[in-house]
Amino acid sequence: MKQSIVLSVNGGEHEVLVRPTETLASVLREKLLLTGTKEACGLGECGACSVLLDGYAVNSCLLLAVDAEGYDIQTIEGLTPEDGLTPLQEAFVEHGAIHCGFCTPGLIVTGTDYLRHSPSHDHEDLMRAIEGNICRCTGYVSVVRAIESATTRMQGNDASTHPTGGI
Amino acid sequence: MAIGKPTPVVDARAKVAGRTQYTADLHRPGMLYGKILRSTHHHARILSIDTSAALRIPGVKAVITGLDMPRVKYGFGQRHREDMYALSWDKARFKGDEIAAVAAIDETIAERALEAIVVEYEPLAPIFDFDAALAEDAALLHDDSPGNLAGVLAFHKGDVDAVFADQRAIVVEGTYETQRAHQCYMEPMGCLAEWSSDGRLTMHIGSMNNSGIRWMLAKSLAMPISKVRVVQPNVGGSFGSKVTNAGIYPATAWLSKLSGHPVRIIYTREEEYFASRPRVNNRIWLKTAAGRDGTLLAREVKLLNDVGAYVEMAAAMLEVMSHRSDSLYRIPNIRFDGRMIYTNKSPIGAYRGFGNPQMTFAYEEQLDRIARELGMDPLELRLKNASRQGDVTVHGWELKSCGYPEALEIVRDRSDWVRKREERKLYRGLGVAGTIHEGDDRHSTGFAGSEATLEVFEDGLVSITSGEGEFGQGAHTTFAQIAAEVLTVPLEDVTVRFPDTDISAYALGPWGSRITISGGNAVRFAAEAARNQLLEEAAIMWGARTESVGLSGGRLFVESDPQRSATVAEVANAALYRLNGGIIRTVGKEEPPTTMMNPEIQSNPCSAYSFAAQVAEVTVDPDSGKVTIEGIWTANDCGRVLNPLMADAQVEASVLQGIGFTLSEHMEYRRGHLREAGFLGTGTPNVRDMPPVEVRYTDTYDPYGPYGAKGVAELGQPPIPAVLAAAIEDAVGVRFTELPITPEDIVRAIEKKGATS
Repeated sequence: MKQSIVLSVNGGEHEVLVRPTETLASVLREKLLLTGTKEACGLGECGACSVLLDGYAVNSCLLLAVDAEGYDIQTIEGLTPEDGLTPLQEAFVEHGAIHCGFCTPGLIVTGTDYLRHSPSHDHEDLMRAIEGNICRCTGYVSVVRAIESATTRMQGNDASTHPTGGI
Repeated sequence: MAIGKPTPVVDARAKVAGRTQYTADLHRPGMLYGKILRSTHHHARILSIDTSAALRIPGVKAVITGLDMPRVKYGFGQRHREDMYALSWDKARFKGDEIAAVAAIDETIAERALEAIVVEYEPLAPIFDFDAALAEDAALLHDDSPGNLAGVLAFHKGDVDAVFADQRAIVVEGTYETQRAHQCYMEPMGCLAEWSSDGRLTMHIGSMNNSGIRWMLAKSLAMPISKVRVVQPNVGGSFGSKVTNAGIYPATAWLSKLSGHPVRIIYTREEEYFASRPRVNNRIWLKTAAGRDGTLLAREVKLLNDVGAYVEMAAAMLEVMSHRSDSLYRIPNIRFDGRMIYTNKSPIGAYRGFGNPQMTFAYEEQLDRIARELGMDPLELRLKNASRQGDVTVHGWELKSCGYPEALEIVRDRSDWVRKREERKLYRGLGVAGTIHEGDDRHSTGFAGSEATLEVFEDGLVSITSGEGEFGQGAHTTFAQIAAEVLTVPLEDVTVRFPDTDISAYALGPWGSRITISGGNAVRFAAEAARNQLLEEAAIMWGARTESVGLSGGRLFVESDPQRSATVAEVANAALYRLNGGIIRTVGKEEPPTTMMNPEIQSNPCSAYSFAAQVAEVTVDPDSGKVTIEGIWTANDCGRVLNPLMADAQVEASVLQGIGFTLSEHMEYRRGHLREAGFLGTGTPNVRDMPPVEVRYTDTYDPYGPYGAKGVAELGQPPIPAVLAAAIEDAVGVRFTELPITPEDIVRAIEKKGATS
């Protein structure tokens, strides 16, 4: 039996008809056509489908769409400023942390959560933040370098003044 | 200068914003969602398939079996064995074999339809491993393949028996076993099929072999090849795998044809493990002889490759595995006997190195043993025997550039090899290994090159069309760099189109480290022709002699009169609007000066050969068996490095995949059942598994590759299993000859050693 729910995505309200078994990842991609969120495993093992739920990264393949009602959902489309990229996205480009690009939106979402919420921004915190994101193209070296450089930049000047919330 | 500059992939800004579209991101009005019914039996005769209940479900638009499709057997290509149907209708040959397909208005309904299909099976004895497959009374997977032999290859060069019989020679032998492993590209396989009103089929496939897959589609669907169009969207990684047919493309096309709707099928991650095309598992028996001074004299190999239920591209793999590694060292006597064995498992495919990590694992272990018996430094033994520039190897391979000796010296010096070997530390070990990889190997006597079209539009922007394909490895970035270099325009002014078989020329695709060499040369030739056209057009514009016109910094000018100068855009525009003019459009065609790979005789199949050496240092915790990699030093001979940013990451990622393959990654079958079908359960490395890796390059310039370049993508992984096994042996005194080497294996081996010593 399908039911009508209202999802708050990237600052807009969307009424969608969903089955109770449908995941948020599937609804975002197939109903709202927000295909920037990728699905690579559907098992919560790789982080490619990460979105921000009230500002914190979650695997949208493990979350039922009906349970996402009432939260503020932000996808890669919502994170990306209309007129350019966030400093974290710029750092990914600059450090060559992007190859096939399939894990990239998930890493940007997870990295954004890390930049905003990590208590210390030390190496162990970063490892803990992204150990759930699998990337097969880079060997993670450039990914770590990119996030570290965005961290340094953020600590140097307050990026939260950026119109889309910074970072 | 675009060449040699660290350059992010050309579509990085779109990718980082989630704006690039992969197959699963494509939507069409009226698009249906397809699903595949897979065999629940390892080996069974299919007695009947009843799809009537599935067809009655509201929202189900098509249900097909192999009997609804042309009954044509097909294989990987024209030279390959044809042993599979688009959907199996007579027999199921592995758990996961494609039996039927459905298309419905959403995925949930498609799944319900699968559950409503009733298949009657008559189970047959399953064959899971070499011994069962080769047993006298073994059941046959394919009636026309006695002994479950899918193919053989054997050759003998020189006289190995004479060497092995010589009392003065040191002879070592051993058997090595490797496991199946999945390439774990992030984007699952899939496709979108649609038909136009004139009966033409368009397939959107995240493939890296568009022309080849067009051939497979035409063959399996009994269609003229010209009526099939394959379009490549963005591809989320491949590492070799997506060169093959995913097993579902023809069925998806047929669902679309029958339903009259576009149909999209995307694999689940679980399906990836059950039914895609992972790395082959092998049993390698190897015997090597050396003289008392360490000179390698002879080698004999007996190789079994478990190809699964259908041959696919396994014949090409056997061929390459049979003799590639023989050219890393100077060795005059070689005997090889290789067999491909059918088993009731999924077919296998290509994975970065194409059998190279497995063979290197075996070969390099024997070098370590020979060094030990002679009391030689294993790195010095390798240096002594290393192939060198100018060598023509035992198989006729012409090494026009070879940085292998230099690579060994680099890793020796960078790792502080000599000093560290002298200060022995308990449970700490060092290993060394090397590899050779083919670049652009020729598997046919026909066209084996590459063709690119280049246009300079009237606004000065440059567009390249190549069928070679980009799957995230940076092919388009390399192509753009080359064109920007030749035409002296900014990199941002160059775009590269994704392959579309209606528009781009026939292409072999990105395998065998051929894209930079072959595809890159084609782009270079096209750009050079465009440069010449621009010079001619500028000369016409100014009434000057062509030889007097130059091009630099994106501007054309008369060399004797720099006041007369114009941008590329101005010249291209003038060319388009003059009488008998036209757009600047050129074709670059490259055909490598190679001979068809044939190890039974002598041939020189590659345009260039790449090399790498590595040293690894590990610490082993004897109680937990945990291996900590303290460092991996790599030195890579990929000729001139065109893009250091991408080359470094290619090596780093390839090294990490090798670490996974050596220490954790395993598609483990117990009595034929795949135990795990996900990233975590099969041991996929995450960020914590990446050790310190140093990436260095030799100072090599290849005479054939564009700007001296050779392939880099497949250099990182092949030495890793060998170099880690050597370092672990140095740390704990046990050499592991089976992969993966897990903590449990190490603890058990240390206990066993303690008990016997």
